[in-house]
Amino acid sequence: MSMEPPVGLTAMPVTKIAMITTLVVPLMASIANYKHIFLLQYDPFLQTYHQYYRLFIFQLCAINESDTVILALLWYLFRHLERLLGSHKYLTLIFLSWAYTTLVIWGLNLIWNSFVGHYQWLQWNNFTTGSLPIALSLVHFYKEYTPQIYEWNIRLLGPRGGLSNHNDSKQEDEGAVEWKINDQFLLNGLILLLILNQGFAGLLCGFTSWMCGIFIDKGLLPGLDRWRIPFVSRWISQGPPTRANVAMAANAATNTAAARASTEAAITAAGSANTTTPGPASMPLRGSSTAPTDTSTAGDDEPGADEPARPLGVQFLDSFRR
Amino acid sequence: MEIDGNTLVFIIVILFLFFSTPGGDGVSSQYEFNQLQRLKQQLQTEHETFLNMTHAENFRNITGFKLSYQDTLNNPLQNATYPLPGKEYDRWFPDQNYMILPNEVIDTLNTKVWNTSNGDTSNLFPPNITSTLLGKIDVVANNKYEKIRMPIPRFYEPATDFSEDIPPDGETYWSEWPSYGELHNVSFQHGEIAIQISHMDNIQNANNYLRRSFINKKNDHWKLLNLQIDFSDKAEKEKHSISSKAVYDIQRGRILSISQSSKLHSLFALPHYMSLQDDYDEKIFNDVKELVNEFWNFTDYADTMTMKDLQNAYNNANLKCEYMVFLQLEPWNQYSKDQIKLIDDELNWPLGRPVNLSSLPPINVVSGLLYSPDCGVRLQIHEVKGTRYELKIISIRKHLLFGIVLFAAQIYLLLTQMHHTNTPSMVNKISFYCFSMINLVDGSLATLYFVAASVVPELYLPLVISAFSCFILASIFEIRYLISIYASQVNEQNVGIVNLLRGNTGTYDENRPRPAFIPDESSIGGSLYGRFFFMLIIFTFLILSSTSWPRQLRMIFEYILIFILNSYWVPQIFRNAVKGIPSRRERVRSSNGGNRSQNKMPLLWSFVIGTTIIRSLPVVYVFTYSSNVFRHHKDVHFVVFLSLWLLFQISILYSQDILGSRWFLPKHTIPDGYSYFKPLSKEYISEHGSGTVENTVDCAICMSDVPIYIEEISETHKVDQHSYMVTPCNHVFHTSCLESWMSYKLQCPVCRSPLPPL
Repeated sequence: MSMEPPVGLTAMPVTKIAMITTLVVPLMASIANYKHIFLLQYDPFLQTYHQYYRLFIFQLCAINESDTVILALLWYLFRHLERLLGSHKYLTLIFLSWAYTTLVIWGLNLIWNSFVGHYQWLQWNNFTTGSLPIALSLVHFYKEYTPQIYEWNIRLLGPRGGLSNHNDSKQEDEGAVEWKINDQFLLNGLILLLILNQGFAGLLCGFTSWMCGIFIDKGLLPGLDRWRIPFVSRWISQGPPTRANVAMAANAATNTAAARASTEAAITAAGSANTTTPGPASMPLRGSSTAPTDTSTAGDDEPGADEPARPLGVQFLDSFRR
Repeated sequence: MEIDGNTLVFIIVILFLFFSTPGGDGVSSQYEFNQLQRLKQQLQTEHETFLNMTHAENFRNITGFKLSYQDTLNNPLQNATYPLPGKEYDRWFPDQNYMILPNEVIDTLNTKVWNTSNGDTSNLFPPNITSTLLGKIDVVANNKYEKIRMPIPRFYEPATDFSEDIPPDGETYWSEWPSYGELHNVSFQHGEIAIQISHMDNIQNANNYLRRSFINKKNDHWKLLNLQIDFSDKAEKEKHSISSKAVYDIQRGRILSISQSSKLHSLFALPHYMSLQDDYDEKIFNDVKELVNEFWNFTDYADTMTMKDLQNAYNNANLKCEYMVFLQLEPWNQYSKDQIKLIDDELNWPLGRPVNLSSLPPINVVSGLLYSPDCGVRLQIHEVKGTRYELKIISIRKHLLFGIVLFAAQIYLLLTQMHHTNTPSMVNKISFYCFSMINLVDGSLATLYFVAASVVPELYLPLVISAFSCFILASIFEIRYLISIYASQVNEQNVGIVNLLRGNTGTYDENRPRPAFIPDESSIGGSLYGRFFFMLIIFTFLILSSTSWPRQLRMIFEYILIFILNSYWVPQIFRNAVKGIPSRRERVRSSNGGNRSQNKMPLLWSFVIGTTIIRSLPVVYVFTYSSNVFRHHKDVHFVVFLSLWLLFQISILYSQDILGSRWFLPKHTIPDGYSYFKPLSKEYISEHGSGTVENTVDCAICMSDVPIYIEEISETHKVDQHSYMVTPCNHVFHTSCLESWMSYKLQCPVCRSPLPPL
């Protein structure tokens, strides 16, 4: 297994689903003006209105745009975990994280508010929005199972830094601040932003969810070792996203795309050829019997074709460029 | 750029124009400045009088209230002056001696209009009534009451020449005004009324935290509203509109509004007219006075007057009657106070509170009366009701979301259709005008959505998404398709219909100028996009302006337009007939031969039926569902007619599919089509030379020999005539070679002359 996960979401169905959900649900909700059903607060929603359904859906949609974007980026970084665990186990892990974090946060909230929260200012009222608990639970797995690849130092010179350039190194160290940064600093930064973005609730729920992640890993919260979500293997049956699998899937994708675009690409190629060099010399040498699947070589067959095959999307874009 | 004298002068002129435009108050001359000063001064004096006025005192020098109804009865030509000799200014009683309403109207108000809750305040009324109410209006009397004379101060008049600096003094009366053909009366008996209510919000002065001022401080008892009232007769030939401030008494459910213009300063009269009861309540007067005063201080009413306000006040005074509007709301006693607050909060700021918004009763005006003191018109309204504005927005949002789904379905159908016709020969059979009509509707819908998005900020997101999906459909997919249709039909320009029926576009007709250059797709695209946007703008303006036409004209226009725009399959029927697609049985028979794909029907049936349903659903909804969001009238007959018309078009298309596209044309009107499969003569071989083997010619596409059928030589009669094709320009190719070429371009590969499609 190589150090860097392959770029893109090929053969990563669970990550794809998670990212799409993170982005599409808030979009749909705000178009339909139903974003408020994803807001969770102890008072009034749980305490007064008894709207317990909010507990089970609040992780589906982040209320703020910045949270949405950060979560989507985090899911992309977590695709490493899908590659490590396999899609099915990863999906199970996400589901368990969702269930356990929801229950634990709710339980702690109930306990706190029934014992301590009689005072208005001590009440734990706000919860996080979006899949922050799941993400924090997954952070544990990410940190635990991803080796650090490299690190580097950033040295910030103090106010007398200008002098230190031509003095000895001893003086240099006095005024300098040194930061050690490793390859996971993007993830760390995003997590930090996500938590700070949501204030105290973010810290509290984030810490609790991290604990949940550790407990799931250690088996204290059971399920990950033996149980898998049933009936979903059809959708995620591509097998573990090994490099060979990924390459195969990528090939398949380009092949089908090429096949789909073949006719139009051929039209464009032939058309452009005909305008530049008139006459039968530019004719494609394909009889009517040529099967449409035989298109991977269509571009090479045409002597006059100076353009590569263009898929439909490229053609639409081209119509704006010209 | 070189800066010489001319450029400098130009820049200075531009700067002069820029800086000499009127400032915030719109004053552009000394005369106007003086006008505005006079107005402010007048308002300040009247405000001082207003501040000193108590509930037991009459109006003094407040514009429009100098005469009472009784004064006019005593002397109909009485001028409105202050002080009037013999008039009591230190007393007040709500009758015609003091008010500008006749006693009869005051009685009606007390007994029939404002009668729901006089003394007791146990009834509950919704505190927030932002809505549009619709109902009926009847004229009770339009020549029974004496008209109170209300003068306009002459300083409102615009300057007559440039040298004039000081506005004239004095006042003018109606009889002295030049006539512009305006109507100081209501001449119909029954009509329709729309009342638009919006709240003046409790805004705090955000710029200055030290000087926080509020209006509507007594939020739970009194509120200031903006009222926009439009009423007209059924045919909308005579329209009246009033736009004014109103006071809403939340405890009693009463709304009072008096129009404001340069002949009636109604703001100062609201306290007196809000308290009409015999058991005259001082508290009401003082509350309303405080409310009006708060509003005055909050807005700096006199100091923020602009030239625009002044001109509006002058125009309103000149062109319109003044109206006093008295409305009584129906109480919402089925709710408790807390429930009403919850409902209000949920509507203002939706959080999913446990309220049932769908069962919310409408804002209902039980009784209402309009009286015009200066025109002597009395009107009465009934059945006026409407849902809360926020509920209306929610319902429109649902409609818009459904519309987006329709657009998505249309895009999907169009893509399958485009995939179905992927060769020029197939695209050639599709009617350009059919898709132009569809495209025009989609494009103008997109523009209308864009316009609406800037008008209704609450619905910005769904409107923009609708506009965007509609625009993508119209300007990307449909235009792309139109470009390819146009490009495949370029050959047929300047060709007569008979030639087209023959399918023989390629014969060398010496009279017909051959196109010197055949435009490629990008130049076609440019011209089509230009045409598209031009048509779009024209059409959108037409639609937008048609909404303000009188009802009858508007309806005729609408019906004709909908009928024409729903005839989109007619051009395709003609196109099918022109292109002569064989019947289904023949197609099945000939599909064993080479050209399978060439003989399909050009339009997919899923596309035809899906498009028809998508496009007629909104029309059906608007015309059959009587409480639709567009307030469109119900007309089932038209929908039935339209559906039958669409059904007729589809059935013709279907019959063309089954029987062949020319079944309705008599046999002798159909000329023979061009046949690519024919025997050749010996002269052809001698003229064009033969291939390497005898009795063959070279196929210019595959560069190999084509065995041909030559009439004079019997050995060649073994050759299948369908194995080669002869173009109208007398070039010979293998059938397979030419057919595959013709799926790219309908031009002869050798001489580039146009080829008739298969």
